[in-house]
Amino acid sequence: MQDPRVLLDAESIKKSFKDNEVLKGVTLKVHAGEVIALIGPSGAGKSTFLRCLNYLERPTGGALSLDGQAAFVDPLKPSKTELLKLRRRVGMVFQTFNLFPHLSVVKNIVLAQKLNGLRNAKEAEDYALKLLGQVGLADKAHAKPSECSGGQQQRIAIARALSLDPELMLFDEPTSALDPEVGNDVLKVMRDLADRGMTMIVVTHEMKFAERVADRVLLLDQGGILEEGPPAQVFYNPTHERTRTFLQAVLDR
Amino acid sequence: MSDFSFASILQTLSAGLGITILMTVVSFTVGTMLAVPLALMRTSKLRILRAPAVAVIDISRGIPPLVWLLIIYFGISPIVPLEPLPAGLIGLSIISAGYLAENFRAGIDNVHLGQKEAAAALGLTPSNQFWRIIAPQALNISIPPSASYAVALLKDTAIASIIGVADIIFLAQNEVSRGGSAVLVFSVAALLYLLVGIPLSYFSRFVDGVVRSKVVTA
Repeated sequence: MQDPRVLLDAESIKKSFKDNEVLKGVTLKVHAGEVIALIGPSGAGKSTFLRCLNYLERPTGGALSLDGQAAFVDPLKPSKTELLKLRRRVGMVFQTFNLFPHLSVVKNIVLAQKLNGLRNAKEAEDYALKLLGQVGLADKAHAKPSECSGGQQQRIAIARALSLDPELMLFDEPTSALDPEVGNDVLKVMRDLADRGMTMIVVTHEMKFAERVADRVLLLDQGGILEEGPPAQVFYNPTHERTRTFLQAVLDR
Repeated sequence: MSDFSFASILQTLSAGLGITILMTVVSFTVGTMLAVPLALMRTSKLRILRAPAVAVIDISRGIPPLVWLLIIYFGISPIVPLEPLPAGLIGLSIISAGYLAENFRAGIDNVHLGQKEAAAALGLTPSNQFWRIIAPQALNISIPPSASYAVALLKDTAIASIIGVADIIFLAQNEVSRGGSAVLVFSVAALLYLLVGIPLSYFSRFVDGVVRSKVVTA
């Protein structure tokens, strides 16, 4: 059962780079515990939209609310405090993992907890080890990221993002840089997370994952939402011809 | 009575080895201390900080080292009495600052953008993003070129002999003017530079190997 509470309300998010309008006003309400899959052709604006949700990309229009509260007094001029507050509540996992190579695995997960004053050193380390256990990598705690495989690095990156107890997790093509086999380990961790009730937005090309795990699928095309609905509807009974063409192209690959 | 045997020349020139090493160490150290703030200004988003840093770096590197030393020595000593050694140290420090600042700047610029984004996404403040995540990796990136700059600097200190610093080359020129064989004397000088330079080169290659695994570059 889904919590009817709207956790994230992204209202008409726009983003332009110079004259190039990448997002033409994307609106998305996400309920607590819901898993959203963002699919669509490259250049559709999926990643840009996702990155606007934690302001790694600063939107040129629109507004964000978390739990019914506006994230910014002025969405176009976020204050430093508002930015930090938003980012401490929203975790992000990147396509290229972006672990900190100069820190051990466990320190990667400890750092933000300590700097954000969430836990003291001892608690932060215990929590990091617990999270590493959850992603099946307790034995890698004292390794360097460079000593871990891509799939392991991505699972560590998930543990790192979870270390701040986020209410919402953003995944930006988390398996695109991985071999299919290794990618499955990452997808399994994500599925477990979804099962435990985490609210997630996942930009992905993994249609099977989207179908099995997502509650709702959004198809973005040319900076707008083209199709939106439960996986069964979007995948098997889409309303737009464009959706059919895209899905066909993905499945033929 | 003059003795221009190999052993005697070696003994005479060795007296300058300390000065050569001193100039290298001091100007590298002072250069580093000046280079850090310069590199920070150089990579600042604020033009008012960036522009002067660009100017200082370009000027320090754009003037031939020899000309720097001549300007400082002959320009300052009439106003404030300045011995050759401090004049040489000032000049070499300024030159080192320019080169090392560029190394540090390149280090900062070459840390993968994803590192800053990951740090930002984890709610780190801009200052923590820089000092905890970017700076350590930038330092790792800039250590190898800085170590090889130390080798270059060791050799560059030779120009300080022109303004009268009693380094290896100054003493060598003395020996030649006193009647020593130029080829022999300067060969001994070369030997002394190699004696310090080769271990330094090995060290810089060793550092390069150690540092390589600790960064993800753009």
